[in-house]
Amino acid sequence: MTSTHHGFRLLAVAVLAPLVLTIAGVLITAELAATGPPRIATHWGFAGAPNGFGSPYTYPILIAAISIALIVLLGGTSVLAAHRAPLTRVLKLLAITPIWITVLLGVGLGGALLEQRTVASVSHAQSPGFALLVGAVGATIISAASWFVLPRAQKSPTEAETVSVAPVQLADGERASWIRTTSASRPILFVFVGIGVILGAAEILVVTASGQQVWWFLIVPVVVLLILLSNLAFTVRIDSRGVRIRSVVGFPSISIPLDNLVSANVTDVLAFTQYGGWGLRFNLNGRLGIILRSGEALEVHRRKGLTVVITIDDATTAAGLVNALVKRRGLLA
Amino acid sequence: MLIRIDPASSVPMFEQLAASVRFDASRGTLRPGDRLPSARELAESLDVNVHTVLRAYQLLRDEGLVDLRPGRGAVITVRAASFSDLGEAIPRLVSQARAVGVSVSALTAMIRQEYAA
Repeated sequence: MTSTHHGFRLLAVAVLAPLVLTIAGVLITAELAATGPPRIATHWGFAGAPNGFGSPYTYPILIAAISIALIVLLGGTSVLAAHRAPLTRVLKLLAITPIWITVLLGVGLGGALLEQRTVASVSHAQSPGFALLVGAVGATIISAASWFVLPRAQKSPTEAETVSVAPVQLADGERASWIRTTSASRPILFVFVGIGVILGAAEILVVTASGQQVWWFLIVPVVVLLILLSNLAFTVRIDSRGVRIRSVVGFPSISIPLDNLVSANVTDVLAFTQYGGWGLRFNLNGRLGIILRSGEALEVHRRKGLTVVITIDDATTAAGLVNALVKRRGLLA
Repeated sequence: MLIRIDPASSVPMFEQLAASVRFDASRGTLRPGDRLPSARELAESLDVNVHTVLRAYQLLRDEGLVDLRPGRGAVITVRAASFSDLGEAIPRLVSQARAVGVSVSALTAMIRQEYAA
């Protein structure tokens, strides 16, 4: 069967190749660490002078931790998702990301170690900006090439699955409100907590290795975690004002006033195939998705702005109310 | 959860609100453990006073359909499951009444009498 052939190409690009690259990166940086200066600059201030120093073994450990986490999270999920659904462009993008990261880290951090062997004292070491740039360019070329190793992208079935919904009956002066909270399912929470633990472990590693500037190393992971948490549960509210979709922590929030509503319908979402994952995201068909699971979702079409899709139970009632409100607006106008 | 109220109706707003929740419980749209929106949010959405919503929630609590706990809000109790049995019986009853030409007021009067008996 051709599908097993495709399956192997996907596995090779998303998991095996980045795994081999990671092992190579770890071996090379470990060798450079063993033969280079025992302490190296690991952090640079705004002026460009190093202000954090640590063991050169920080680099191979960092490469292994980040690469393996991303191979499992992104490569692994793209392989699993493609088992049950067509290999879309979003999934292909997900599948080539681990290669990009492993090449960037291997070249960037390996280059940084090489550079520090040539300076007289590590306190004069330049920040590895150039090595990282070379790594980024190389990573982009290799992952772009691996795009063509993968089978041709298949169409995402978004359009076909849409079901139109009749408006609910509303009397003239009747007020109606539909409010429901939709939250991430358990496997998503598991993945998010996993990302948190990996980020935290990587940070602690870097901080203890450099021994300096502790607090501001923590800004990035804290911000990333806050963003992840704010994407875990949303409340959808539909009433005479329009549709409001708001994270339970208050942000992000999308308000669609009644005047800007066109219609709503029910759709069936495949989180990975159509949106490449969970959270607030855009798909390649020009939809803004708030994707907390696969399955039933409310799709709201706006006069101005992208169509919004949110995964939620009882979407039929929600769409029926939106259509009723739009219909009544039309009668009143 | 779809909540609808008609300010023109002679039925008090809080009764209408409670009836909306009961209806959703009987249809299985609301299940045990589901959380109702906060009173403030629902009041804002329906353009009614917060106390109207709170009164409806208290009525539902007295009936045992919701649990009101500070900090957790209004949560549907296990009794909602028994409501869904009623939810199956009522459409049958109404269609039988329709078939023999019994009006809403006549049917409700008959139900009232049954309760009194």
